Amino acid sequence: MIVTKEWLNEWIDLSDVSTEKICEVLNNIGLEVDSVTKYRVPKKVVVGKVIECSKHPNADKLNVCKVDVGNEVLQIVCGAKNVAANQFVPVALEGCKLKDDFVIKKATLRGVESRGMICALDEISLPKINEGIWVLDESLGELELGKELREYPLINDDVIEIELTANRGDCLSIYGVARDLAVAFNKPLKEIKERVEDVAKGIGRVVKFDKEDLIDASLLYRYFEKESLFFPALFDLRLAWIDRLKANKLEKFVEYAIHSTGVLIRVYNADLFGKDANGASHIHIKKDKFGFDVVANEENIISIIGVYQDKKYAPKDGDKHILVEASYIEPSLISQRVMEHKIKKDEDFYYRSSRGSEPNLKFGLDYMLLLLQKYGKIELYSGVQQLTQIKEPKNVVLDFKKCYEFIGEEIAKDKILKILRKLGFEISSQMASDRVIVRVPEFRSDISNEQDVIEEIVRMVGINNIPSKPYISYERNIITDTYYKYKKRRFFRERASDCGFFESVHYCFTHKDKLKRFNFPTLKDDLDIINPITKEMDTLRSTLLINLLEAVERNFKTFKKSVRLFEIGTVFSEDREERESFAIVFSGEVEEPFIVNHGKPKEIDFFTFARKIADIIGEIEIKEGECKSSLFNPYEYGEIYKDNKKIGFISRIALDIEKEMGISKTYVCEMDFASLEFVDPKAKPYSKFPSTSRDLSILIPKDLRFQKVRDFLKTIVSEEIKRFYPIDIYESDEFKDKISLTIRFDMQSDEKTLTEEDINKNMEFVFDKLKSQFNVEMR
Amino acid sequence: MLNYEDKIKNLSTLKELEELRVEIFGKKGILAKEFSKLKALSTEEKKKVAKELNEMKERLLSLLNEKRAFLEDKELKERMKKEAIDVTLFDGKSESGALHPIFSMIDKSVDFFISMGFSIEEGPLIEEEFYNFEALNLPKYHPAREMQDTFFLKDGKLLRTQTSPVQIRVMQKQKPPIKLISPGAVFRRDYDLTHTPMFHQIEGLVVDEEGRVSFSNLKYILEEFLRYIFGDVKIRFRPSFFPFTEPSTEVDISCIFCKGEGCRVCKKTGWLEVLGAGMVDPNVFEAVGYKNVSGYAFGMGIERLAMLYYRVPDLRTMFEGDLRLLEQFK
Repeated sequence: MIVTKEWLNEWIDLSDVSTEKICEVLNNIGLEVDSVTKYRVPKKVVVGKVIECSKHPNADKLNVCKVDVGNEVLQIVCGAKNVAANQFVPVALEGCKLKDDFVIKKATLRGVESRGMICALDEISLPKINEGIWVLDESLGELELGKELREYPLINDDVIEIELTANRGDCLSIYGVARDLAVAFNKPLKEIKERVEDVAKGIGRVVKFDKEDLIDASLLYRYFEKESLFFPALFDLRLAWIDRLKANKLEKFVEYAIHSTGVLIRVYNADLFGKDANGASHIHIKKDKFGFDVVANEENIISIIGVYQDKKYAPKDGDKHILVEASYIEPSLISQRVMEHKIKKDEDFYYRSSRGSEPNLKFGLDYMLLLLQKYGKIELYSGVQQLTQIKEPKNVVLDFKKCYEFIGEEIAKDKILKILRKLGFEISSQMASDRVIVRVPEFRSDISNEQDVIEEIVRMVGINNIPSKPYISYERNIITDTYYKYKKRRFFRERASDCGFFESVHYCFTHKDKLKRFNFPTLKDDLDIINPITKEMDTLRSTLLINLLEAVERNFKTFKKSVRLFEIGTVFSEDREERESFAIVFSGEVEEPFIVNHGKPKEIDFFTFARKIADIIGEIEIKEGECKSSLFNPYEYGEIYKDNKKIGFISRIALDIEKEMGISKTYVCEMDFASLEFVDPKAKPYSKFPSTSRDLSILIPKDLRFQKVRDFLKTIVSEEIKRFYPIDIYESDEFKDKISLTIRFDMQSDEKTLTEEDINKNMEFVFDKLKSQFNVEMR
Repeated sequence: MLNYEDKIKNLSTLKELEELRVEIFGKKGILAKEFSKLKALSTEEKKKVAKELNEMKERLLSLLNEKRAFLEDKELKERMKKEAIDVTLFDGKSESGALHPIFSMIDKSVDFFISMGFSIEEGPLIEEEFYNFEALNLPKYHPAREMQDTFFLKDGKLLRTQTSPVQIRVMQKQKPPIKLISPGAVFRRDYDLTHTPMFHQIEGLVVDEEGRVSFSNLKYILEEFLRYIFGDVKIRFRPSFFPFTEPSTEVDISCIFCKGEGCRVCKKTGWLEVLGAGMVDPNVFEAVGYKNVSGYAFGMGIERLAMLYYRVPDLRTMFEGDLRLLEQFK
C-alpha cells in the first residue's frame, strides 16, 4: 500500500507533522513502513507557458516554441510530440542541473537557438507517466509563471510504501490509513461536505435490475451520461507514484477513487447490456454455478463481484452511457471459491476484495462522482439501485481484568474506551464495572473476538510502552528424550569439528536422476514432491553424500586442496520415513602444507580416513561388504561396525566419478545417526604390570582378508594378549601367491610381570593356531 | 697421583674423560699398577698403602663422576643450542574443523532457553496440512496461506513451512503449563538472493492457566534473548499480523552495523527486523482443545540471526559447504 503525505492530508491534517514522525507512528501501530521516497524537483525548473509552437525549419521532429517564464519569453527547441501552444509546462532554465552530469546550457539545435528545456516528468526526478512533456494544470496549485516547481508541495511529495499485513484490508486506501493515523495522532478525520448533483431523469428509466434472492454482496449502482472528462495532472502523478497508470480517463478516475477511499468501484458501458423495447438495459444480478455473485445480461456473465470483469463491457473513451457500481463482499465468501475453482481474476481488484474492502459504498461512489463533476461534464441520473446486506453487527465482550492480565499492565478504562471509540467501535453498553460490550465497525472484517479487540488496544497504546516482566513458572523437569537427542547431535558435531571436519548444511532436496544413476533409494513416485523448485531439487534425498560431493566439487573449483566436510541431517527412505544420517567426506591432502611435511602433504588414504572416523565416533571395526552403488570404488569399500552392530559404510569414490567431478582422491562414510550410542564411558580395572609387544610376520594367501584372521584370533588368544593389530603388509615376487603380514601383539598380565618364556609361549601358541587354521608360514 | 686430580679438573670433553678414566681405572691403568705394587710390601705397610690407595681411588672416582655429570649436562646444553629452531616458522594454522554458523546459532539459542527453563521439542519435516495450517488458524482458503509458498507432496502431505506445527503436536500430547522451544528446518518454495527453499527456525511457546502469561512476559523473554545474542542493542516492538498469534509483533533491534545511524544493511532505517511473536490466538487453543489458558509464541529465522551475528554476507553460501566461508569459523 502506497500513501503520500499530501494525499493523506486530504483526510487528516498532518501539516505540522514530519514524514519521519508519520513513519514512526505507522510502524508503532502495525503499518510497517517499507520505504520512503522524497520526490523533489531540481532547482531552476519553473512554470512556463507555451505561447507559440511551430515546426523547426531544418528538422521534422523538432518544434520551436516561445515560452513565457514570467520575466521573459524564451525560445526553446522541443522534440516532444505532445507540445502545443497554450500549455503550461515545466521549463528547465539555463544553469539548471537536472542530473549530476546534465546541466542546461544555451544551445543551437540545427541552426536554431534554444534557451532551456521543456521537461518530461522523468527528467525532473518524478516518475514517468507518458511519452513527451508534462502538461501542468491548476490541480497542482495556482500556476504562476516563473515560479519554481519545487515550491509546489503537491508535486514535491513524500511517498511512503507500507507493507500491509494480510488482516488489514481496511488500510488498503489513503482514507483507511488516515483513519488509523487519526487515532494514533488523536486528530479528527476530515469529512466530505460537497454533495453530488443529479438531474431529474431517474436511473429506473434506463436500467432495469433483476435481482435474485440469496445474493451475498452489497451493491450500489448509479448511472450517468458522460460528456467530457479531464484528468488532472496531480492525479496522473499520484497514479504514477502508486504504479497504477491506466490508458482511459474514466478508468483513471476509478483507480484514483478506489485508492483514495478503499471502496471497490467498477464501470460498465450500459449500452452493451442489450436493450428492451423501451430502450432500457436489463441487468441480472445472480449466482453463477460456483456460487459467485455475478452481473450478467441476457447472454453473458459480465463481471464477478469482487473478482473479475469482462473487459469487453468496460467503457472506452468515447462511450457515453455509463453504469457505475460500488461493491462489497465478505472476503471469506470469495477467497475459498476463487482458490477452489482457479478462476480468472483481476489481480489488484481481487487483492482488495479478498482482504476486505471498504463497506461504506456511498462514501466511495460519491467521492468518485464528485471528482467527475469537478473535472468533467457528466449528467448524473437521480436515484440509485442498491442491494444492501444487513450484516449482523459483531459484538464482543471486553473484560477489563482479562485485558489487564493479558497485557500484563493495567491500562486505564477511560483510555481503553477512548481508543476503541476512535477506532470506530461503538461501546454499546457497560455491563458491569469490569466489562463492556463493544460493537465492531463494519470495515474491520478481521475482528471477531475479545483478543482481537485487545490487539487494537495494544496497537494504539504502543507495544513499546508495555513494560517487560518475567513469567513466573512452575518447576518442571525439562531433560527429555529430545534434549538427549539434541545433546548427542551436538556431541558428535563437536567431535567431528575437533577432528578437522567442517560442518555443512544442504537442502533436503536432490536430483532424482542422480539418485537413480548411483543406485541410491528414491522416493516412491506417489510420495514425491508435486511442485519442486528446480529440476536439480526434484525429490527428497535418501543420502547426504550427493550434496556433500557436490560441495567437494565446488570447493575444488575454488582451488581448495583438502576438503573435509560432515553433515548430520534428515534423509528419507523410499516410503518417505525420516531418518537422521551422519556423513563425512575427506578429499585431497591429508593435512595443511607446512614446514614439517615440506609443503607436500600426502593424500588421504583409506586407513587414515577410517582412523578419523574412529576419532569421531569411537572404536569401530570395518568388515567387507557388498558395494551397491556405482558412486563407490568397490575395491576400497567396507561396512562400519560399532559394538558388533552395523552402522554404516566407508568407501573411496569410484575413480571414474572422481575424474568426472574433477576432485582428488576422496573418501566418504555415511552412518545411521540413531545407531550411534551416546553413553558416558565407564572405567574398568587395569593391570599395574609392565606391558610388552611382539611382532609376528607371517606369509598368508593373498586373498585371505584380515577380517577372518581377526575373527579367528579373537576366539583363541589368551587373556594376556590385550590387543593385536596389523601393522604392515609387504608384497614380493618371492612370496609368489602370498603376502607378508605383520601383526603386533600387545601383552600384559593382570597378575605379574610377563617373562620372556611367557611371551614366547603366547606367540608360539598363536602361530601354531594360525598355521593350522590358515596354513600360514613364518616369514 | 695428585696431578690426576688436576687432570680431571682440567678435562673439557667426555671423550678426554673416557680416555683418562681408562688411564686411571683401566686394567692397565695407573691404579691397577699401583695396586700390583702392594704385593711387594709388608703386611703392615700393605694395609696402610692399600687404605691410601683405596681412598685415592674413591676420590678420583667421585671427581670423575662429578666431572662426567658436568660435561654431560654441558653437552646437552650445547646440543640444544645447536638444534635450535626458528619458532617463528610456525604459520599459525590449525587442522581443526568448525561448526556451521547456522547450527552454532541454534546451539547458542538453545543454551539460552534451556537456562531459562524451556524444554526442547522436535517434530517431523513432513507434515499434515492440519498441523501446518488449519490448527494454526490458517484455514484452507485464508489469503495469509498464500504468503507461504508450500512444497506439496503427492499424497496430500507437505514439507512444513514453519516450526509451529510442533506447538500443536506438543499441546495435543501435554497439558499446560508448557514452556518449549523447537529448532529445526523448514521449507518454502522460494529461491533467490535472499530466500532459500530450506531454512531454519526456532519456535517458542509458553502456555499456562489464564492470567498467568501476559504480553509483558513475552517482551521480557525476547528482550533478554536479543541482548544475550547481540549485546547492548535497542529493541523495538511493532504490531504485526500472524494468523496464529494475536496481538502479534515484529521485533527489531537497532542496527548492529551502523548503531542505528542508517546504512545499507538496515536499508537506512537504523533497525533490523529479527523475529516475530505474539499471544497465542484463541483459535489455536481451540484446535487443540485447551480451555481457559493464555500463552505466547515466538519464531525466528536462524539464518537471519546467524548472518547478523556472524556477519555472513550471503545467505546462499551457507548451504553450499563453501570452505571459504566455513574455515572462518574455526
